[in-house]
Amino acid sequence: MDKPIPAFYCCYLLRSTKMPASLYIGSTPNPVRRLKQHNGKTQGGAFRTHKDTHRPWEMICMVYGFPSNIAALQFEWAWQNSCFTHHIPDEERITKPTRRKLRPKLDPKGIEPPVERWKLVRPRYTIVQVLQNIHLLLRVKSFQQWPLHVKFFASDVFKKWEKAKPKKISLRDGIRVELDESKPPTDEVTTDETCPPPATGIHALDVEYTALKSHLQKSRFILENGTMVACGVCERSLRPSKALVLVCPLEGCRSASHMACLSTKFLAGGNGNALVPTNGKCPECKATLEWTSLVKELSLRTRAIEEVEAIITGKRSKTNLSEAEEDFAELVPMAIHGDKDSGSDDDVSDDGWILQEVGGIAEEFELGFPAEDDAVLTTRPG
Amino acid sequence: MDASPRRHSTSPSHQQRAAMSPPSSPLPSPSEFFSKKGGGALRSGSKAAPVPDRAFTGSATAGSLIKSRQLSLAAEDLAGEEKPKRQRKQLSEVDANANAPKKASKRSAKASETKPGPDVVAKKPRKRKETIDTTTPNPPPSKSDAGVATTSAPSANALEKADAPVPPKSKPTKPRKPRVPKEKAEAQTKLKKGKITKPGTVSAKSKEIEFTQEYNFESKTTGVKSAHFHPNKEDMAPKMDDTLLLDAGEMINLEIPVPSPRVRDTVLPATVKGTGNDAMDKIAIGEKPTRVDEPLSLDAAVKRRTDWTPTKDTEIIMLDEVTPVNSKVGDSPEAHKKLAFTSIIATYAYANTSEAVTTEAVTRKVSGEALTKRRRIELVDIPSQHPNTEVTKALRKKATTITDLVTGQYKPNGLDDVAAGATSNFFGPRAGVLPVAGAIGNNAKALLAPKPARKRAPREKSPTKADPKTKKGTKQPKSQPKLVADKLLSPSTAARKWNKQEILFGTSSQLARDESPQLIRQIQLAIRESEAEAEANASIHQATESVVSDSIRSKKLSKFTASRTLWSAAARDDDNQFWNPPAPSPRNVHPEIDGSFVDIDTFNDDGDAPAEMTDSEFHSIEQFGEFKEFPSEQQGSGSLPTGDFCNSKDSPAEKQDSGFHYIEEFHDFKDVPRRAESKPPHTASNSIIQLDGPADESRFLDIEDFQRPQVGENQQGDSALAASSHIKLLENREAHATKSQASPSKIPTAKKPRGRPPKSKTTITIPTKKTKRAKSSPKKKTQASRALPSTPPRKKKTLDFVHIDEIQDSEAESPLSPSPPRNRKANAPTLSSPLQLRPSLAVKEIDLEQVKHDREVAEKLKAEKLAAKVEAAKLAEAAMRRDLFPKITTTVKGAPRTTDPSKPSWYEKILMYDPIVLEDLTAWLNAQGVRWFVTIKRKGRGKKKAGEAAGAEDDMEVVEKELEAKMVQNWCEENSICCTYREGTRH
Repeated sequence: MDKPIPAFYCCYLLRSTKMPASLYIGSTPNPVRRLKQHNGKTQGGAFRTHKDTHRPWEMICMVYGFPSNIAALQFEWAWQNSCFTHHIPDEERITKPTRRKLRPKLDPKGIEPPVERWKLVRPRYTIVQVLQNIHLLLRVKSFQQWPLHVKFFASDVFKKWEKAKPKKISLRDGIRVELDESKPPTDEVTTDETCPPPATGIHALDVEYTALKSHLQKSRFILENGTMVACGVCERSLRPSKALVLVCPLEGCRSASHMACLSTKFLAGGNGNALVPTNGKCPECKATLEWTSLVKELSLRTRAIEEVEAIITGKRSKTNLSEAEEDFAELVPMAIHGDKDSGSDDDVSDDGWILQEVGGIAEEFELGFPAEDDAVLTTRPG
Repeated sequence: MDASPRRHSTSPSHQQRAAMSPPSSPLPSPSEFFSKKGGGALRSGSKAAPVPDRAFTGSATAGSLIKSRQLSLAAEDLAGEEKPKRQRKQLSEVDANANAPKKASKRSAKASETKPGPDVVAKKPRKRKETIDTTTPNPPPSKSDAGVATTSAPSANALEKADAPVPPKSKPTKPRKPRVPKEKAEAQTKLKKGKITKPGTVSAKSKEIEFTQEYNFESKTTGVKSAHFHPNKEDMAPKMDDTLLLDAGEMINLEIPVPSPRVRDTVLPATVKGTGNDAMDKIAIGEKPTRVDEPLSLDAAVKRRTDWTPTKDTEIIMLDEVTPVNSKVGDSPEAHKKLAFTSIIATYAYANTSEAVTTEAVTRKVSGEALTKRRRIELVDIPSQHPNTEVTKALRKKATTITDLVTGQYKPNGLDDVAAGATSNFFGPRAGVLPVAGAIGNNAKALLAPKPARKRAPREKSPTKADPKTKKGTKQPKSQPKLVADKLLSPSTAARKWNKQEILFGTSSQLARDESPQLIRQIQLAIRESEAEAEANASIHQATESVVSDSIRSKKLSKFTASRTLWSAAARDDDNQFWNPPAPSPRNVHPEIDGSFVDIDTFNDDGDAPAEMTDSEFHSIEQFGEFKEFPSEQQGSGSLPTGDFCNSKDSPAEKQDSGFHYIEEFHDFKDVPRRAESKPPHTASNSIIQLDGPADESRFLDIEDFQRPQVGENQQGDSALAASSHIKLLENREAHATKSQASPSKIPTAKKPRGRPPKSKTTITIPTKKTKRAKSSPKKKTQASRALPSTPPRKKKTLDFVHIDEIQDSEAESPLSPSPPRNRKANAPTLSSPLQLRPSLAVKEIDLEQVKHDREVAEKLKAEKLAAKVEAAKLAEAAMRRDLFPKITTTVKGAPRTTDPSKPSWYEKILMYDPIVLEDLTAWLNAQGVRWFVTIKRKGRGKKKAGEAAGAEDDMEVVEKELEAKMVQNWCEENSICCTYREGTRH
């Protein structure tokens, strides 16, 4: 419970480049590393993706922004088992389970006729069904308020999404659905060691807290300055030690407020009856702020003090950079999280199609800041 | 010791030696024996040969004797034939010590002092053996013989049997040794026989007197020999016992046989003790001469008896294995006795030897002389053979389980073959044994049990003499089969039968369907009915035409034949092509047949007459079956599965042999339902036929009408008629399709169907048939038996063989016109009821239906409950969402803000996207006083806030309950709050 909101967590959709009909749904806080695992470049791939006949896999779509690994796993399971999940009302369910006939149950006494038995099995989803289920899951009550976004890495898939998504029903406003149009690096690209090619696709994803560095620095500057700071909403004095304080991430805005006050304000701003706001306007700078970013910084600040210090100081924590992450240092130097996915890839599902990648729920996010981050950061675009 | 005396008998020198210095020689000889075979112990046991002398006195010696005897037995069997003859010759020449053992005795007597002379001349091993025998060594060879006939044989044979050894060797494969043991074995066997002969000698008269004479000589000689041995034995008796025990311990391979012989010896000695004692006394220093004088006649026999007795033990083993052979030869009684005496272990121990012994025994029988004694025993055995038959009977009875019956139908050859092969005597027991199975085939018989039997017997006799016997057998079984069936009706068995029947029966196409067995049955019934209708129609037409026909019986016969032939006739049509020309007017062709049917009907009206008719029909069928059925059978079998049945029917009609019976049974089953159908047409045909004669279409209607009453009315000829009717239907169909050109050919074919029913009669094996027949027999009595017909239909149902018919019928129908039979579907229920031959089965069917129905109901109830639950849950959820959720929301939101950032409030946790642990939140909410209310009186739980609860509209008693995690979960999911159960407590 005391874990900060992960910097990045996504549920992704893999597609076999050799057998495009083969799909795989998984979740990971580090797509690049996970994809390497799936493709057998590193250890820890899923059993369902171990066949060389299907490799390499490409990550064509992902839903990201999960505030916790548990949330991601729940969404992943619901996505994989859209025909079973209780999150989807039956009337809205797109995919129906299929019956797999089992051996009839015989009466040991031989008197009664055998009882036919069936096992409900999830069907083999098509790409369209998977996409439709994404749309559906983002609309169901259980997930509609989650700070999720969708990103496509294949134009053809995005076209299918556009074609498959219901016309009359739209997603919540805060959900971004976008196509990553950055061209994947080609082999021909001049590999200049000093100037690696810009990361594209999943490689461009920021799976680290680096983006929060400024925010953390600002919050520390504001809250630990020793000066009295008034809540931007209730105008009462903020005592970070006594209350949860949110700080506007925008530079130049010194607004800070009680979380409760700001949430109330945001909710009053038009989020309906939701308990958790999705976004709102800063009481001071009036900029539209995402609740997620505010809370993420808060959680990190309040629950991962050491990591925050490391992030701010630019020092990598001693414990948090795994070897695997170092492997990714070239493209994703910021990979900090231990990948819960690794090693937990035995797919229990009976269906060959969409394989679920189950990660340990109790995954702990190890936050760390690589010592070389600065140098790496310089190489990173933006 | 038996072995030793015998060996001595084979070689008198041995005997002398045994008397002279048994102990000295024994040690080397046993070692040799051991070296020769693992049966060295046996040899020690053979050393027991002296023991048998003791055995006469004491049990242990007897065991040793037995061992030796066993060994000798194997040898005896082999060499017995030859040696005994030779010995007998010698004995005849030299009465006192004539026989081969006598030879030995002679030798012993002659060269008792000068053993080495002949023995040494013969072979040194013999000497060794002899010496061994006298002491302990002799027993080992005997044991070896017992343990391994071949091994034992060579030693003794080498000495004594220069003549005989070859043939015995041939059996045991060991030339010389087996020979000696053979001699020994002969002596031993003789001894055994002698024991048996004591009781059995009286009965033994029947066989060869010569043998008896020889026997006496031998016995005398043996007695002498025994006397010679006895002294040794006496001297050795205690020693031998000890030695025997030691030997037994030493004899690893032969350990098992050793004890058993002892026991046997103990048993035997009691009978032989007198002789043994005498021999012992004789052998005992001073008494020998006196007793030698007397014993030569009496004692010798006794001694031999003792010796023989141990051999009997070996023989016992022999008997176990050889019993079949013995039964043939007449040795079975011994085997039985031995069996009784010998323990199972003993049998196992000697099993190896027994094989050789069995062969030997056969040879002995062939040779005859040695067999004489043996044969005497065998004579005694002959009466004892009955137990064998009894055993077989018992086995057969055991076999009469439902499963066996059901499966037996498919595997007809075994029982039927036996029954068929056996003569009337066999049939008698068989009837008892196979009453259940047999009944089915007797449907016609059952229907007309008294009359048909008479009529059938003569008629059937005309075609095949064996048939009447079979028929008789079937008759007896009928009564028994019923009982068996009743026994069989136990619920579990019945259920099994049900399942099996459903599974087994039905055409491939039917089985291929996924439809429930009930549907298939109904379909089958409908098809049958339709077929029956078609047949009935045809029969009616024929009847109308036939009414004019002069010879009713002949016509009947023709009809039946035609109908029955229909099965086979279909093939015939293909082959003969007589039927090929499918003239649209089956009437022309069938009229004759129809006329026969009509006649039958008339007879049926008379009551007894129909039975006769049926019988006559059967006879004719049989006859025809001989002529035509075989080809038709072949054809039919080749062409269709049903054809096989037809073939079987035909064959039984002719021979009433094994495999076919089953088929017949099947036919019977088929016939039974059809009979019910067909019968009415027959009986009704008389009245109806006239009415309906002109129009075919009207026939169908009339047939249906008539059939219904007929079923009740005429049950007498139902079975036969039914079968015939079925056949007729088929024939009619064929006729319709092919419009058989040659009516005479049809007639024989019709006879063939008759043959089928007789086969059914003959086939006693199938219990279901019996039950049907039994039922059918009451049917003859008249309508009162209607209940019975119902039962037979059950059988039919149970026996899905009808399906096969249906298939054929369906096939035949397709060309014709299935519509008319379908019209009878209305009758289907009645038919269905009769189709069920086995009431228990029917009950089971009902039970199954009930079970299914119950299941469905239960499922419905479950579904309803689920639906109700779902609705209630929905209502509850709606109520919760309406009442409880806002309360939870307000409670969560209203909670005070945390003052410790490390311990945020629940709402703050929610705001920070913390996964909510439901148990904790639920506990907190409950602690906050959040409650939900349940109105007990209503089905649906009214969940209301505490404040609202008071205002329950319907005086509902509102119960305040704490929140459940599930409710909180619903609330969380309602608000897009990530929630989870505490790890490990997920539902």
